[in-house]
Formats: sequence, C-alpha cells, structure tokens
Amino acid sequence: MKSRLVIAIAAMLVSGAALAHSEREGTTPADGALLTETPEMIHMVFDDPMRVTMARLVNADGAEMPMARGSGLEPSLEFHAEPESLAPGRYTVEWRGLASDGHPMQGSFSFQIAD
Amino acid sequence: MIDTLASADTTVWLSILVKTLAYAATLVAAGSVLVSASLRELTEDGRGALRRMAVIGALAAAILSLLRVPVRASFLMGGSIDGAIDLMMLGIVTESPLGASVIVRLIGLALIPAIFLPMRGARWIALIGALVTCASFALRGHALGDPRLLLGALVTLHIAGLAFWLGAFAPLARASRREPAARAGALAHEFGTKAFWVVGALVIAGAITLALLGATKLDALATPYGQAFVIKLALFAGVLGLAALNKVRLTPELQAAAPGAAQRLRRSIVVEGALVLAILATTAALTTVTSPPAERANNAPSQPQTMQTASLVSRDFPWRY
Ligand SMILES: [Cu+2]
Repeated sequence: MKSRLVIAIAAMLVSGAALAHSEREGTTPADGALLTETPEMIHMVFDDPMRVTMARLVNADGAEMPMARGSGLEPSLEFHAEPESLAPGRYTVEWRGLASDGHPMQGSFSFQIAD
Repeated sequence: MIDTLASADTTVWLSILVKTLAYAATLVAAGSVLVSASLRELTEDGRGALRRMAVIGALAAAILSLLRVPVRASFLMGGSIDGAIDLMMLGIVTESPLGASVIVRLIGLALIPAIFLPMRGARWIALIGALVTCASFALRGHALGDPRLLLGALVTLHIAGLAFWLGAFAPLARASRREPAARAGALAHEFGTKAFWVVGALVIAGAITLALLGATKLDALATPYGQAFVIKLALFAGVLGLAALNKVRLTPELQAAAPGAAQRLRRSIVVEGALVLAILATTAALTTVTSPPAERANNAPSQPQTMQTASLVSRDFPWRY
C-alpha cells in the first residue's frame, strides 16, 4: 500500500498534465503598442477555434468605448471588431470565451494612442 | 451594453464556491448509495439515515450543479448578472461539455431516490444512479481527450472511490455517537478494510489518468497548476494519514470500548472531512483559476493571471508606431 502510494505520487509529480487548448496567438494592435491614431480594426488570432462570448474596449477610466463586433458567436480562429474614433490615451481590450474543449477563457491586451 | 454588476473576481470566487459545494454534495449523494450497498455492519437505523442523506445530497447536488450553468454564462458575459439570465449565453453553456455533464449528472441524481422504493431491485436503480452521477465527471475537461473510453472509466472509478470514502464519514460519525462501541467499532472495522482497497484503486486510477494525460515535465511544479497539485497531494497525504490512524489505532480502541474512543474517532472524521473539502476546493480552484502548464509554456510565468488566460504572443503583430 505504502509503496504503491509512493509510486503514484512520484508519477503524479513528474507528469505535468500538459494539456493544450486554444491560445491566443496574437493581437492587433499588439499588447503595449503605441499608435498615432485609432486602429481600424481590433483583431485576435487563436490557434484553436474559440467562441468569443464577450469583447469590450475600455479606456483608462474603465469606461466602455463603442466597438462594432465583426465576428459572431460561432467558434472561430479569428476575432474582429471595429472601434469608433478614439481620443489619445490608454485602452484595454478585455475578452472572454469558450475554448473548443469547453473551458472558459479570458484575456486582455492594451494599447496606447499618442497625442 | 453590459452593466458589470459583479467584478471578474466575484464571478471567479462564486464559480469556485459553487463548484466546490456541487462536488461535495454530488459525492455525498453518490457515496451514501455506495456505502449503503457495500457496508453490511450498518444498523437498520443507520441505513435509514444514510438513505435520507443520499436523497438530501442528491437534491442539493442537483440544485448546485444546475446553478453552475448561469454562473458560467455570467462569467462568459464579463461577470454581469445579465449574462446569468441571457438565454443565448445559457444555450451556449448548455451545449458545451459543462452542459452535457450537468444533464448526465441530473439523470444519475434523479435515480438515487429509488433507494427508498420498497420493490426489489430498487437498490440497483439507485446504485446505477450513483455510478451515472460519478460518470458525469468524466464528460468534462481534459478527460475528453484520447483514449476517451479508458480515461472516462478511470475518472469514473476515481470519483466513485472518493464518493465511497466521503459517503462513509456521516454514518461512521453517527454510529460512534449513537451506537454501542462494539457496533460502531464493527462498522469502522468493515469500512477500514474496504476503504483500504478503495484507496488503492483510487490512487492507481488517478496515477494512470495523469500518466495518460500528462507529459513528463518537472518544471510543471513551478506553475500555479503544479503548485496547486502539490497542495492537493499534501492534503491527500493528510487524509491518508488520518485514515491510517483510524484504522490502526482508533478502530481497535472502539472495538475494545476504550473510554473516549468514540469521541476521538469522531474528531478524526471531522478533520478528515475538512481536509477532503479543502481538496475539493483546491480542485475547483485548480480548474478555474490556473491553466495547465502547456498553455503557459511560452508565457512569462511571473505575470499574475486569473482564470485561464490565453497566452499572449503579440510581438508577431507589429502594428507599431
Ligand atoms: Cu481545457
């Protein structure tokens, strides 16, 4: 019993349960980007279909900015949305979604528009 | 568009809380049926209490499992109450593996009250219900990977073992309080003997599952996922230690009707129960707050993250000024 337990624990310790699911591969604008004008498009790319259930653009005060969503709720490798003209300042895109294995995911990235 | 009535953190905490309670109630419901079916030393009175526990547990588990759907929908809508009642979002969650798991679990839980039916074979209906309930855990998350059937069977076995153990806490505590030491001792002895095999199976099923799922990476320990896993194992070691103490010391004392033995056993069971609850909470947090190491492989591990934050490789998109 004891030795079986030790073996089991050892097995658990060395196995990291490395299990993949969708990741965000990249965003436009890139996280931390410094822009001169409002980006034409907010764009996210995933390596596995993602159902983006919520995406919003907020300014530094946390107020939500209008953004026209170009992608539906179906699982997709890409997400687009079009922001309206933005004043200089720092903005954050926050999103949530369901990965293809059904796990809830969330993420965010920021960019800045210079004066 | 969305009034954020609850912050993200609130939804995360709510999600962990509901998940933990749903786990506990589900395991108690299924476990009470398994214990009632497998321990012969239960008195008629004790068995009656166990049946009531099974039905109350099944009811609580059904409500808590159903509650997980609006909590998930709310999370997906950014933590708003609106999300919890948004029909389209509720539909999306119901279609997801969580929805399938909840539906199968509800079917299993609905069969458990058959334990009260006076007809022959009713016990078997309840037993099937308990196993279906345990199997519902296999329908979610990474148990969905290949080899699917084997993983599903292993997860079900693992959960059934855990349920059996958890289900025995209440009847053991009850017997030690209400019944003569010799009767309670006999029950504790029977449980100790059977739990020995159940724990062995539980550990082996868990180890095989992890071996099938996992790559072998020692640096996984550096991730929150790995650390939460170590916490879980440490708690589990504590439970095993107490269980061994019960079996080796407290049960024989109880059988010999030593003074204070019943009380010591009860105290030990309470601590064991608290540790199991902590394991369930860690598991709930493990699957809610952090992501498995593969997801963070190309991620800076230092940055604090909530939920399963997708990795960010934004440098490939140089929309820079
Ligand atoms: Cu996943």
